[in-house]
Amino acid sequence: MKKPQHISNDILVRFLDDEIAANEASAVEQHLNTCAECRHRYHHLGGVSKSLEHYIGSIQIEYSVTERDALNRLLKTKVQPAPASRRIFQPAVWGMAAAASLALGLILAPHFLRPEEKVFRAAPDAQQSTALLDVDGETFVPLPYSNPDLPIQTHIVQMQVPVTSLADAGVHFEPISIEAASSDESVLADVLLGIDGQPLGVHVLNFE
Amino acid sequence: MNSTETLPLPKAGCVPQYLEDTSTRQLILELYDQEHVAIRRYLVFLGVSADLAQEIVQDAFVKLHEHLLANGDRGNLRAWLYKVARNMARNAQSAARVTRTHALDDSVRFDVRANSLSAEEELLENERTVRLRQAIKALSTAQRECLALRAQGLKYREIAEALNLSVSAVGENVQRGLEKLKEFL
Repeated sequence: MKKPQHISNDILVRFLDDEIAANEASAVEQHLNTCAECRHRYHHLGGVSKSLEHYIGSIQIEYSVTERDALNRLLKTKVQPAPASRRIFQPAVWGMAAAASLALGLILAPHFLRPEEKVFRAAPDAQQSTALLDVDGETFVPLPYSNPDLPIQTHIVQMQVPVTSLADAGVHFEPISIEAASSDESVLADVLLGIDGQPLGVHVLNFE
Repeated sequence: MNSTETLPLPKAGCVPQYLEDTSTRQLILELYDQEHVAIRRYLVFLGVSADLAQEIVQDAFVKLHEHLLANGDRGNLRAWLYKVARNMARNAQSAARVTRTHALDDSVRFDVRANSLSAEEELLENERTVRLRQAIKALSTAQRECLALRAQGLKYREIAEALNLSVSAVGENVQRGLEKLKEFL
C-alpha cells in the first residue's frame, strides 16, 4: 500500500491563516481528516499561533480619550491640502529596480573597506542635513547619484552597503557599538531608488 | 445667509476641500478608534517604549491625514499606517542610537486580568509565557515583525505592503517563525 504523503508546514500554516486557494484548502481539510500526524502538527502550530496572539494581545496599553481629542483638534487645524505628491508609481519602474540594485552595487562596491574604522550611525554632511528625504515616515540621507528634481518614487531596496562608499557620498558615521559592525565593514541599509534607477537616499539600519 | 452660498461650487468629479476635510477627518478618527491600540501593541512588541509608541501612533495618524489630503492612495490604509509607524519607530531608534532591538523588555506590562484563570492554570500560563519570551528572542527581525502583524489580524498582502516584502517572503517568515516558536513550547 502506498504511504500517504504528508502536508508540509508551509501549506499547513497557510491553511491556518486562510491564505490558500479554496480547492487547495479542501484537499488539506480532507487529508487532515485522515492523517493523525499532520493533524497533530496542524494543532501544534495552531496552538503556538494562539499563544503568541494571546501574548501580544495582553500587552497592556494605557490611553485616555484626551489623546483622541488632541488628535481631532490637531487634524482640524490642518485644513490646507498638502502640496501635490511628487511620488508616482509606474509598473515599469519595478522592473528597473533589480537593475538599479545592481547599478548601486557597481557604484558603491569599488570602494571596499578600510578596516580601522567601525561604523554604525549615519550622519549626513552639514550641508545635507537640511535636505533629508521623508518617505512614508522613513527618513533618508540624500545621496548624490540621482537627480533630486525627478519625481520621487517609493521603491526601497534593503542591502549591505560598503561604509567607505557612503563616506565618499558624504554620509559619515559615528561609532556606537562594535556589535553592529558586519565583518566586511558594510552596513545594512534601506536604499531609496530614484526614478532614474540611481540611489537617491539611504537609511542605515543600525539595529539589524 | 445659507453657508453653501459662500462656498465655491465644486468642479465636476472633484470633492471640494471643505467637504473632503470633514469626511477625511472622520475617516481618520474611525481608523484611530479601530487601530491605535493594536498599532501601539505592535510597536511595544518590537521593543519601542510605551510613551514613544503613543507619540508615534499620534504622528502616524497626522501623516495619514496629510497623505489623504494630498490624494494619496486609499487602497489599504491599515497597512499604510503600520508601515509609517514602523518607519517612524526605526527613525527614532536610529536617532536614539539604539543598535539592537529586543522584543519586549522586562518593563512591559501584561493584562493578566483578561485571563480569568485558576491559580494552577495561571502558573502553567506563566511558564509558557517565559518560554515564549525566550522563543521570541530567537526569531529574526523579519519573522518577529511578520508574526506581530499577523497577530494583529493583517493578511499576508497587508503585511507585505507594510514591511516592503513580497507575499511569499511573508509566508516563509510566518512559517519559519512559528516553527521556531514551536521548538520552545
